[in-house]
Amino acid sequence: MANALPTRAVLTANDVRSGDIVFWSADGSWTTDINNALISQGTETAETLLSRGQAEEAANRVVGTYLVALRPEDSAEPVPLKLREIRRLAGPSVPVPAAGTETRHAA
Amino acid sequence: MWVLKEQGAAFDHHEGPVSEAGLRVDGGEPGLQEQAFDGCEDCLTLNFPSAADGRGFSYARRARRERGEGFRIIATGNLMPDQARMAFQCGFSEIHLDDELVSRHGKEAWRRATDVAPDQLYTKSGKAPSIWDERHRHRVKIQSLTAAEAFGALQESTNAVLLDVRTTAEWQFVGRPAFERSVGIQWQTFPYGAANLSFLEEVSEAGLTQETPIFVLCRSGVRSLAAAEALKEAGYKDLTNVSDGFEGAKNASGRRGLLNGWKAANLPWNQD
Amino acid sequence: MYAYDTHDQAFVEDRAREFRDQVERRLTGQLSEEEFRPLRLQNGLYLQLHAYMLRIAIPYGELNSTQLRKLGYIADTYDKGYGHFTTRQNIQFNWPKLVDTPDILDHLASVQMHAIQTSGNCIRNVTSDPFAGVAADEFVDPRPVSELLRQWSMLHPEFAFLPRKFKFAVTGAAEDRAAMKFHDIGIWAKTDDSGHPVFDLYVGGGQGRTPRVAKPFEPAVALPDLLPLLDAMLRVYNLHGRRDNKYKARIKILVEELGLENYRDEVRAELAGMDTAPFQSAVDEYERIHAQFEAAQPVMEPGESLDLSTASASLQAWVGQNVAAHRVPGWAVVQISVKPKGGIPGDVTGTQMLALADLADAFSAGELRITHRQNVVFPYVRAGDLPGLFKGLQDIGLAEDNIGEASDIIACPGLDYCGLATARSIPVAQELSTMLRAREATDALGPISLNISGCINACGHHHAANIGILGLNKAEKENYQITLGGRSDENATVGEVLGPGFDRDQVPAAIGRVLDTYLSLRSGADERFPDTYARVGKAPFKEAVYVGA
Repeated sequence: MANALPTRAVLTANDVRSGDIVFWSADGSWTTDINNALISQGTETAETLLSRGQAEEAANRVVGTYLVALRPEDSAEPVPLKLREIRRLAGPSVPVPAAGTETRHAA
Repeated sequence: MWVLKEQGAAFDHHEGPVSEAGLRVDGGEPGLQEQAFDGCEDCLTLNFPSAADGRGFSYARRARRERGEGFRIIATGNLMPDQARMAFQCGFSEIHLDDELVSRHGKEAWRRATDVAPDQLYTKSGKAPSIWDERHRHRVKIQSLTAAEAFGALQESTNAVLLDVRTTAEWQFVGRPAFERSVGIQWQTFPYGAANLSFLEEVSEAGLTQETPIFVLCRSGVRSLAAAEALKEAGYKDLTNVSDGFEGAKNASGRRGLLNGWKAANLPWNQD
Repeated sequence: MYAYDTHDQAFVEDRAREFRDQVERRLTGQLSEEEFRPLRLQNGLYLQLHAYMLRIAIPYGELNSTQLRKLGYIADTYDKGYGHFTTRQNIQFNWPKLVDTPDILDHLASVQMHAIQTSGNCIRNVTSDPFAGVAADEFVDPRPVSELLRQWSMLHPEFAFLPRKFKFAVTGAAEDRAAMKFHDIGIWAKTDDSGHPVFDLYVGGGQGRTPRVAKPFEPAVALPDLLPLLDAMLRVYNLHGRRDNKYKARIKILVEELGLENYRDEVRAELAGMDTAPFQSAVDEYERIHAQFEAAQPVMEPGESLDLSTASASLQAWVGQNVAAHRVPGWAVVQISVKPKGGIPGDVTGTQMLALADLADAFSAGELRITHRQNVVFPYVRAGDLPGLFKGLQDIGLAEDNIGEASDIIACPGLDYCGLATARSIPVAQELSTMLRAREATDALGPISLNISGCINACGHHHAANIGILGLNKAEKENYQITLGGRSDENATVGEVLGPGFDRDQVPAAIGRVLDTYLSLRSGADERFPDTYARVGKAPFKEAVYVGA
């Protein structure tokens, strides 16, 4: 699968308990904010990230780890290359109705 | 290697590999080699290449049918505890497990997975009776009579009881049938409509036996049918549902008590 | 509708308990994700583009108001305040947490619901005619046999790990409103000369990347023979269906590779050796279920139809468009459009669910149906109650009078939610809905089906639509292909690809030109889109869409 590792990428997954999208951060934990994600430069760090992901899955913290390839431009903002990843990051393109309406229900 | 047998009958550890007699069938792609099966004498071993490959279940079902009871059908390979039950229901007699599978899932998970409640599945699979068989065994026909017919039958009988399963609020505000041998036990409780969990207990406390002819009545025949079904399952044998109930269906303007039912049939009733 | 007895209730409660245990074992690592995946899928829990997604079964689309209130409660308590009605008459929630799912399943069990087998390579929730029991053109109520199939397929130990998912649809009326021929097995219930139900079976239909119309397999199967035959059909599929390529794993491919005759011979050979004793109680069971549906059916005294002469234009239009013929005079089958102008097809908020439940209590004997076109049906409405119901629906934004029109769009969640999607469906549906509602106000387009899928898997049924739209990813850009001439009724047909795809912003104009072409070529106002297309062929449409562009 990984015969062509991206040169610039972040490691992503879903939190096993909540399902939230998470990214591996520079301080060695998972973050929900891609701006705090550790960005790999070159295939070597990409491989390190991938094996970190496998270890994290084995520890049952996250599920479905993979690398998100980023645009190669030397910008501070991580922007994914692929349409799917752009949409995944952006969330639904239609407004989500507000939550927190429990009060209307009898317990 | 561990050997798991049906219904927790045995779960033993064997040092080293267990000899797997008979023919071994592997789930290769694209298909199983079925012609080889014919040469097998007394034992068949089916290897599950992955837990997601369920061919072995159908293969075992067919092999069990063709070979009869007593023939050994062994599952090996990658199974989950959650599939052990299915394997036995499909005709496997043994599951042989690598030590790794047992230590990872835990012995307890494997043992528990074979505890099949006897009526857990709808259709017959394996030795346990099915839900449908259970229902069939307890099949008592629930008669259906209109309120007027039911009242006639109640009067003719010497011991039949009218069981009113509406709520306390309905008895109080809508009224109750005036019939000597009536009992009121709520099927759902007022005001939230929650199921009355002690319904069967209360019926028996009221002195109704499994032989008592019981005429079950509610507002319009739906709750009473559910209650009659529950009584039937509990072993009551002479049951009649009053199909139009006390108030009957709504009429064109949405009002009950006019179209059909006990009240509309001008049968005696009173209010507390 | 069907009410659980103690067996059914214990069954769903046991299953919820079992899933709670599986979740715990997953979190402690006893179950790996690879092992847990089929278990969670068989309980309706997916991992989607953004989060987990829980799909809840609505067997044959039938719900009562208590159940809908519970769904509203789940939407508001465990999700973000809304849910999505699917093309399999189910509902899905887009944001549940894994750790909350066992509680949600307990809530469902408390109202006789579950999420069992709404996903995974097993027999999925059975779909049926949303007008079941009240349709004017019905031969046999399809619900009892659908419920029989639900029970038969629940945790069927042999068929929980099939080569691929397996879908049944059942209809019992002259018009097929269940897209029966686009299912792995379609069942068309009729009656024999003595009035007993018999079942015509079709096999090998489906959509996805190889759309197929199901082929006639066996006509007039009697009730006692039905389940043994289905068991044999599934067994042959489970043993021989391909497992090396998930795109060739559905029964439609097996039937095609073996040939229908060979498949039928294999099934008959299997059936000949089978012990049918385990199915003896099925006939009794059918009668028990049938009696329950009969008993629960409200008493419907024939009445007068509604005099609309003095009604408002909006009420007249809504009744004209959204109300279908009921088998009892003076009663109405009301179709509630969940396709508001510019809205998201099939999405309802928790608030709307609660309000719909109240309306169902007030106007439909507390019962409703979800349709495979992602709408809602009230089956038991008195004609005289139509104005009151219309008013209630206006209050919650569900009074759009567009049932069966082009703006009554089917759309899958697409790349706004789905991990498999290649393009978005929802924004396209929204733009088209706005454009089409404007057109429908002026042009008499008549009934047209317009369906959108966000990938080749075709959950949005684009192959089966008069006008289908398929969203693809072309060099990391959304691209939309148009198919024409499909239909999902008893004359099921797979639509044809018109030509190269379009960018998203070009789609409304292209669809506009398709409609112009239809209007100019149809032989009269009563010639339906697929009939015109079948008569004139692809060429004039292609020319109008591509040359005219």
